[in-house]
Amino acid sequence: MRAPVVLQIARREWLEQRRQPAMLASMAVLFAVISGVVILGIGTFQIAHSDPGTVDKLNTTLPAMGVSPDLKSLAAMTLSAGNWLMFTQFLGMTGVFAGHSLLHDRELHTLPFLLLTPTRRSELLTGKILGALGFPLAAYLVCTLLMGIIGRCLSITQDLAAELPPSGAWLATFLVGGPAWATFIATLGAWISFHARDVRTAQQLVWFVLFFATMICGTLLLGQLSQGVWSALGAAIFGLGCAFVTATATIQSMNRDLRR
Amino acid sequence: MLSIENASRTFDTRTVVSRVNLQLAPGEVLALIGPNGGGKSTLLWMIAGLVQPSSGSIRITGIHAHEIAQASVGAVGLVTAEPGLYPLLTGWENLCFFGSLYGEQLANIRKFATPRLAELGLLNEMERPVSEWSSGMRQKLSLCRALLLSPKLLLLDEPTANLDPLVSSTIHRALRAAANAGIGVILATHDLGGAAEIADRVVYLKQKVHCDIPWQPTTGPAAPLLELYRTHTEASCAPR
Repeated sequence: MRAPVVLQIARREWLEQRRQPAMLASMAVLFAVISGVVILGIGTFQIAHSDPGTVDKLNTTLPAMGVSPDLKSLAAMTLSAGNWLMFTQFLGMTGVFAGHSLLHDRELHTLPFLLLTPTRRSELLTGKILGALGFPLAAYLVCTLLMGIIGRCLSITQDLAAELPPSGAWLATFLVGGPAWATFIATLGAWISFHARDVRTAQQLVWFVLFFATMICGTLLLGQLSQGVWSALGAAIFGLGCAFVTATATIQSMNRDLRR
Repeated sequence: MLSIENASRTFDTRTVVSRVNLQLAPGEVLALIGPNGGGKSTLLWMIAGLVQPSSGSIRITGIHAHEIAQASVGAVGLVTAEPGLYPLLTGWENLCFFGSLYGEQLANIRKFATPRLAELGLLNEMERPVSEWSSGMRQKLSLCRALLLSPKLLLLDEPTANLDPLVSSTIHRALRAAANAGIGVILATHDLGGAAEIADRVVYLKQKVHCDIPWQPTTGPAAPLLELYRTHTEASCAPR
């Protein structure tokens, strides 16, 4: 595989995405809202936790509403929900970007011209996936790091130190597992969009598969976070393996005729 | 230069191209005419290596068509009715992107393309996004992309569909110039006037039927060609 060719394809994807500011803005706002709500939530629990008067009030009012008054548990739940949302959104967005990137080429009738160049199918697919990963990965990393670092600085989350940066489990889950599973989902999206008979079917299939795939992969990956670094790393490597298998299958099947 | 021997293509149970035999010499312009669904586009895509024949063989300078993209970089140029450009990218960005996939340096692409773009009247538009261009301008850029690596064979599938007569004429002139430079040209078209203007040979294709039309460039403009087309469509070209 020739890296310059892969980068050319990815760069073109990024260039086109940069010229769609509304699309990029909506993606950035989604990540910002998730991380903002989580930070606001655990920040509020931290303030309440440090004020004995508020803790007393919550101890009387929250059980009446059927909610546990344990602020540490609430902070942990908020952080966990934020992480899960961040993951699933990142995986889903990458999948949609990769899936739509090939659909885009089919709609614009650029695919035959790409296949007429000496570009190998593996280079085309890798470039497309890299192009799909670019902006969502950047937004995901910034927001996840921000959430993790702020979470780590608060005393209310001190019991969760093993699941926050810079713990090994956090690094393995978020910095290795996230991109690995995103690559798998992106490859899945690309495979569907290359093989579907028409663009609308491809869109529907991409959405259908991504909905379940992101839920399963996100839950699988986050489930390993509390199990320690080796478990988290195992889940990440499993994601890489799945990505490799799907990518190989997609590359093989892309060698077929354009007109089926 | 191009040799097609008994090439057929079947999709499921439907035969679209049946036992086509065709030779093309360098610098020759062959017009492929026939009704819609007659297999012209499929044959062109088979020659480009984007559709594999179910049987028979297609060779370009001795290389199998489906290996040509890797074995002889840039040997085949393609223009389709849809220009196949990225609308959010400028003309230069489109050209440089495709050129770079052929392994060309950006400076070389600009150096090679500049005179052609000037001839086609596009040079001053190249910094604008293609989405702001007319369909004629996009098609000219598509032609410029096809000629970028001085191909041995140029394939055109309805390149002037929906274009005004002036743009069509510019494209036909460019095709004639390409043929004069030794490039073999195959033009699938319904524009019999255009075909009569530039073709050296005309082949009629209708699924299980294909034959050379006894037409010579000296025969004159489109009217005789239209008559020949009508005669063939009304079944004088017997199935083999």
